[in-house]
Amino acid sequence: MFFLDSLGAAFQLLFGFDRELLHIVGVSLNVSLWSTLAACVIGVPAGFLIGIASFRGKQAVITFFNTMLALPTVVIGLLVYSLLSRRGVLGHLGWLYSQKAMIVGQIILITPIIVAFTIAAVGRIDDRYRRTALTLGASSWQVALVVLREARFSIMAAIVAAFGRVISEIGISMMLGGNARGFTRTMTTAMALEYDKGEFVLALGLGIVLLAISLVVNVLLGYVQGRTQR
Amino acid sequence: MSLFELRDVRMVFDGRVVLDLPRLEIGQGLAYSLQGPNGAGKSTLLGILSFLNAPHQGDVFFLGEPVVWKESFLRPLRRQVALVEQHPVMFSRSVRENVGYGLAIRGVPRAERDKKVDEALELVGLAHLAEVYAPRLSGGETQRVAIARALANSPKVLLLDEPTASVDTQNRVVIEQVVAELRDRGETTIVLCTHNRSQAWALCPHVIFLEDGKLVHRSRANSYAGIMGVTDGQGVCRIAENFRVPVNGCEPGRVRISIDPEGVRLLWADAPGVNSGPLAKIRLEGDTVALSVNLGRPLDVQMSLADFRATGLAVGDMVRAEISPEAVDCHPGN
Repeated sequence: MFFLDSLGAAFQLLFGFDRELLHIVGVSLNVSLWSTLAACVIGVPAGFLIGIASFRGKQAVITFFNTMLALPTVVIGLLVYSLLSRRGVLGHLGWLYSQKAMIVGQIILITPIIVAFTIAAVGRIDDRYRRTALTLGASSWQVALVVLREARFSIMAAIVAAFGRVISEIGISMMLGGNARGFTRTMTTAMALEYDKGEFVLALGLGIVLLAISLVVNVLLGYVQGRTQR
Repeated sequence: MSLFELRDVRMVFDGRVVLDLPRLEIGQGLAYSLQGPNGAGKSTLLGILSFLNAPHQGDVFFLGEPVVWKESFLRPLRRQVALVEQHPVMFSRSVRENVGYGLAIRGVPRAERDKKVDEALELVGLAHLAEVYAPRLSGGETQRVAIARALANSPKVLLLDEPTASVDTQNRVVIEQVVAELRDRGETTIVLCTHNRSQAWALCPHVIFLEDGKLVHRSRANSYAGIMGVTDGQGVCRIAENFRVPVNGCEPGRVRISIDPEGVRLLWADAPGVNSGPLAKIRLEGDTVALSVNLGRPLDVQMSLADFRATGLAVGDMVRAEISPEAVDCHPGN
């Protein structure tokens, strides 16, 4: 009954077009998309370069990023808080308890995911692709593009995993956003609030909305893969 | 001028010399078969000739110019050489885009590129697959598209690493026809790495034979001088006391004959006699088995691994060689 009620609540929330809910979903998407985009810009090239290059200490770098996958959101929250608080090095920016602060924290959270998964994706690409491109006359840059293209689905999967991580995280959003209604309240912080109030049905309903958004993202990715493979 | 000249080239892996070539020249527009047992250094040599791997020692000259093993210097050289690996990979895009890749990165305009891609696919008989997603091709089709992809760039040299080792008969025939056509045009130097001796003989007049990384000067196997006569209405070439080969359409007198190793059948024999002798050598070469029978002169025989297993032969067994006249070429007056 509890789950059915929650499912009903989720439908009501989704199709009732509740203004507050739409705003919460908007904040969640805004913060998650920007942080994922920024983490991609940093993480994909970094992961690709680490993956494709041979250098001393490469394994140590890979181990570092793999370790960073386990970085707790609370630690990131504390770190960014100390930087953005009034007495912090970046306190003058006045970003604390804003969406910008949440984005900064989430970038720190998911960049290692994208870097580590991109390294793994590039490492799995058969060396014959590189050799084939070289023997067909490709420059180093063109060879890199060939490898990147062959690894694209694994990299896209890494990006989706990273997006899933940020849209479902709560520690950073709560510590750096403050769960301010109409400003920094996301689906996860709203869920925590409803839980605190004892509104379990509504909390789970919000969770189902979150999963529905994740489903849309994955369906879109599957569609893109299908189109590319013809 | 030689296309390639290798001087004192050595490759050493884990202290083991895998290639040691004091001197090797490859002429322009000629077709070479690159032969030798597994681990003889054939793929290592192809790696050097394709400018993918620098030799650990020695000098390589291309069109008379010394090769400098630096990326900026190598790219223009690589654009004149095409390597088709034994198990080629297709980029995850269409066959047309795969074949046109080399042209695209050379900045060839789309219309011209499409024309050349169509020509290359026509040559390998796969024009109808131009728009197919390349990774979905079968093994034989992949091999043929890989050859088209290499040829679309009009390379000076085509390096083929066992192109027919893992394809079916139909695809093998097409690939052999393509190589024969290129050889006859004489515009492209061909280096065909193969374990199939009869294929090597049929397609390539020149042989590079490697053994333990060293160049072995070996004339075409099964090439013999003999005297033609007629026995019971059948032309027979006498090579040695117990080595007589049935030959069709060859005038009596001194001749040189060559026997296709795949055209010889081996049968069990009880005692030495005409075309009978002990099996002296058995060697696995890829998916075929090379055998040598002592008939006073060594006779090389080649058969598939499955056929060899069915014979149950072992070194020292007494065998009789049944030679088909169709497997014998005659060169009068040699």
